[in-house]
Amino acid sequence: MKTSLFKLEGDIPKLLGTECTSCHYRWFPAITFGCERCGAHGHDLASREFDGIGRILSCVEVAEGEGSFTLALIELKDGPVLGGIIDGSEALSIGDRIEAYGSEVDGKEVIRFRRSDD
Amino acid sequence: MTKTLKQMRPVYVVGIGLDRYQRISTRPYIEFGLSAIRAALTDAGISWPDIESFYLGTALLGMAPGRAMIKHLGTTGIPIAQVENASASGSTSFRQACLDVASGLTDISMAAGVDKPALIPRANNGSPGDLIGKWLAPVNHFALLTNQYREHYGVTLEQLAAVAVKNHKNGSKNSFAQRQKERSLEEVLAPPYLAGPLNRLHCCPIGEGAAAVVVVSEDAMEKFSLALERSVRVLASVSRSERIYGPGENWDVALTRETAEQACQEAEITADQLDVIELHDAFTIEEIMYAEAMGLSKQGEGARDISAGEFDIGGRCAVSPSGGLLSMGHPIGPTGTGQIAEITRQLRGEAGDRQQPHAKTGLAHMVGVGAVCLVHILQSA
Repeated sequence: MKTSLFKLEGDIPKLLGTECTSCHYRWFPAITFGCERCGAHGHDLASREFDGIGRILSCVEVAEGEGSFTLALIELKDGPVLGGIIDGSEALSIGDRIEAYGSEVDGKEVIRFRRSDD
Repeated sequence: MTKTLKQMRPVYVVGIGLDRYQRISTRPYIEFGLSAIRAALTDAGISWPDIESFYLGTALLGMAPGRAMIKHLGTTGIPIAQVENASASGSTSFRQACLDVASGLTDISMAAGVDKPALIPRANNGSPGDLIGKWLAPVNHFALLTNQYREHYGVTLEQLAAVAVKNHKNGSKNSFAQRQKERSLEEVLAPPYLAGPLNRLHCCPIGEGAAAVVVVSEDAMEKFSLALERSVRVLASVSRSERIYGPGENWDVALTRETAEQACQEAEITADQLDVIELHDAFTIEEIMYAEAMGLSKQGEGARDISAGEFDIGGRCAVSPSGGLLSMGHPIGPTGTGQIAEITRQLRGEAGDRQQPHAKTGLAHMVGVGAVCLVHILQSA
């Protein structure tokens, strides 16, 4: 079963995840086999759309060919922790607030993050 | 009522054997696997027909590589099994052999590890994927953890690099190590960088290799007149798997902390009694974080302790005297078994110019993706 990672409302992405309504643990991406924390399953698991806003737990420059890009560990405001690629040339620090946006790479819709001043 | 390993029949390591870890070659795994097994048998003074069960730690060779190898020792009909537990496969095969002897199922068992690098697909976990695809590589993951740790505790790049300098120095004296060359601080700090401050010397090499150990009961020691002074008792064998930890908490560290704590409790020792440790230093930051998780250093002070020489051979606790994964290498299946061989060598006092003086108690630690953690504590008999 292949499901989507996100959907775009305009250029505002929603990240598609899951919440356990029994213990309220939340995770991304959406996997509905059972809750890792308490084991609840079936109707106890609810689909959730997480806002793509959060903060940087860590970030690092990763070499790619002749250049590099910024990879980050991100804690969403809604709870889940995930990896993301951050665009932009601004210096980034742990704790910076970031937001997701829809982008396109090689003709394919992807999610990228950028620093948010909000 | 459950029991710990120490409450069961005593288990002793009496034989160790290795074939050098190295870059992938044209040698068949059977050749270097048998080399390690025969070395362990010779070291123990025991013949293959005396082995009553056999476990092979392997993750990269495909289905059922064990009998294809050990049949060349002469078939004896003993129970055998392949053990796959990611990076902890060799540690898990050792645990299984110990449990056979401790429970009384056998008097003599062997644990081995053999592997050859290959691109093996991970099991499909049903996930639709993630937002970063191929960039979830281990080096990137540990570079993220490195930066997070450095930011939090103010660790310098020189302190981080000291881990690789120490472990390459140790590995340069180990004829079984994949990397046998000392590296300077300047070399460990130099570009090109793979991710963040990590160049390749901050990362373990994954090659091929083999390791084997023989474990026995006291009955077997008596029957074969095995020397007590070359025997090392296995005080604890603890295997745990990951739980859900607090937000932002590193799961490998949390899992290591609870596994090592349980092992020390079961062995009835405290961390400050450990003389020698082989831990899962696949990346430099791991040695620092795991040393703290095991209670060797206070939180945030591991890097300082390492750069001050406290974990050198001759320091208060020798960490990775074999060279660790960073220098000895990480061929996956053999790695955990090879750690037991190194700890045994140290506790026997047979490690030559890598010898930690007066080593009496040692600990071996591996984590595996999935995630699992195994800790064994050994003590000279």
